Amino acid sequence: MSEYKKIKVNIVNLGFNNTFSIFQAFKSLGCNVQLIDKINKNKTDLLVLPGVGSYAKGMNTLREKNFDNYIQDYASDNNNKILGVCLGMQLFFSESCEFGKTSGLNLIPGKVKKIPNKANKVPHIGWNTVKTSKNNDFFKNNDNHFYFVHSYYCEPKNKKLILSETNLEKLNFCSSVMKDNLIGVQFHPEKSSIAGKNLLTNILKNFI
Amino acid sequence: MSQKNRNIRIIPKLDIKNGLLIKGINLEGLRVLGDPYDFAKYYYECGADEICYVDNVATLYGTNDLNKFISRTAKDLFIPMTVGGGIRSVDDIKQILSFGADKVCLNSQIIKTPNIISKAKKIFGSSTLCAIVETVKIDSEYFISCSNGRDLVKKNPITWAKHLEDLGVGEIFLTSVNKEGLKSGFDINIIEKISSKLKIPVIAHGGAGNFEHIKKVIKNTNIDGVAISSLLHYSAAPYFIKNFHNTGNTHFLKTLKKEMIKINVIKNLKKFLKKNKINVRI
Repeated sequence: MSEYKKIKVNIVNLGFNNTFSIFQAFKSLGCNVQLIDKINKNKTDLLVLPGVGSYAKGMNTLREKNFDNYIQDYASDNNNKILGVCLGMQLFFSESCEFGKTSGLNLIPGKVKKIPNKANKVPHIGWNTVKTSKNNDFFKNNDNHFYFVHSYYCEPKNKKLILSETNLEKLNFCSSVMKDNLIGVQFHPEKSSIAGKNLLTNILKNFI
Repeated sequence: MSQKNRNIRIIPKLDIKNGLLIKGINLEGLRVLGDPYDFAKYYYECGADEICYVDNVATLYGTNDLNKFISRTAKDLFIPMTVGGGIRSVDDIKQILSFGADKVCLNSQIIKTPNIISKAKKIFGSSTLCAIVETVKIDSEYFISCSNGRDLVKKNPITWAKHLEDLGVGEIFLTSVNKEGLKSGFDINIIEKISSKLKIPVIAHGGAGNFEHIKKVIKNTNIDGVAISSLLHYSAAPYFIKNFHNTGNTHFLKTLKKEMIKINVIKNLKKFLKKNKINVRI
């Protein structure tokens, strides 16, 4: 895996979520990984906004550390690549209805909505399949079973940004999204065994 | 609620005491089986969907001994890990997650101070919080217990589980204490009542002795996963006997025969379930 040795990956550490696993996942692929607690202007090939936690807590922590402005600024240059995982993907969007309305980073127009619990158990916890909705190289060579843990899902305004969808009872939701230099995944590649590692490898190969 | 396209998770449950994997009967009469990491890694390679570590004596002795297993496991296993045992505060949860766990499971502390859930929910989100509900059947009446079946609590498990859902836990880990370790099948009656009443995922634990038992509990209830210990550990234990520490009640382990090894129980189980039209990840 030494081909990824030169790839620098910076993971935003919000201080209350599991950054250990995503760190290990990139490390096991051979990347040069760093956890960042505060804004770090050093050049990185991939900035990762990881998952787990509540939306409001996530946004508040980003604001406290001034990460919100930094990420918005960073994302405005298309050469800068950002991967959002789970809550990280949701934070890309305009707003969420978790604990009242909370505005997000507004990098991708759209809303984060609660999974209706009439037909589904919420949170959606467990392995589910993804169906790629357009030709992309990210899900190549994969069994496409990924691990999900979430109660909310993203609804991009522009449906063409959807990379994959996942089915629940009476709900097909956007399980991954791509807009220019941003990729967001609702599932946890770092927890999705070999399928997850393949996806991260494809991201390193085809996105950066 | 009935979910047509349920995906069932197969979750090896590893009970730990003093850093060793143990297995009891009705959560008592503990036998030492080996290094929990060896077992967890083996199950990961066999296709387990998740790993669950519970420190069995943490509540009793007031220790938090799991951290080194958590990081070692999170480093090498790329599947979710739930950790429980001795969690008393929001800071404990934060610490366990920072070592690499994905979810925490709590029992005793929620019974003592249920508001720990509402506090933790706001920080970590519901999906990180799993509540263990131990059901105990006395005559024909059900109660709950804590500290791994040691202390009986006079609460009805159905209303208790519903209350936990309202407080904001994201998942229920349902252990039938009377069935645990006996390998004689699940307590389908109570599992069905709780899993069909709740709108959050329920994991059934206690009683898996063969594949038919597992199929039966999935088909007759609305659970989302099955936690298994004896059925897996006893067939894997002889495999790791060489790495084994000679402490505690090991007599049982020494009498295990090599022939007891069944190659890849998890994979065979998943094939069996799939054949019976149950969605599993293979």
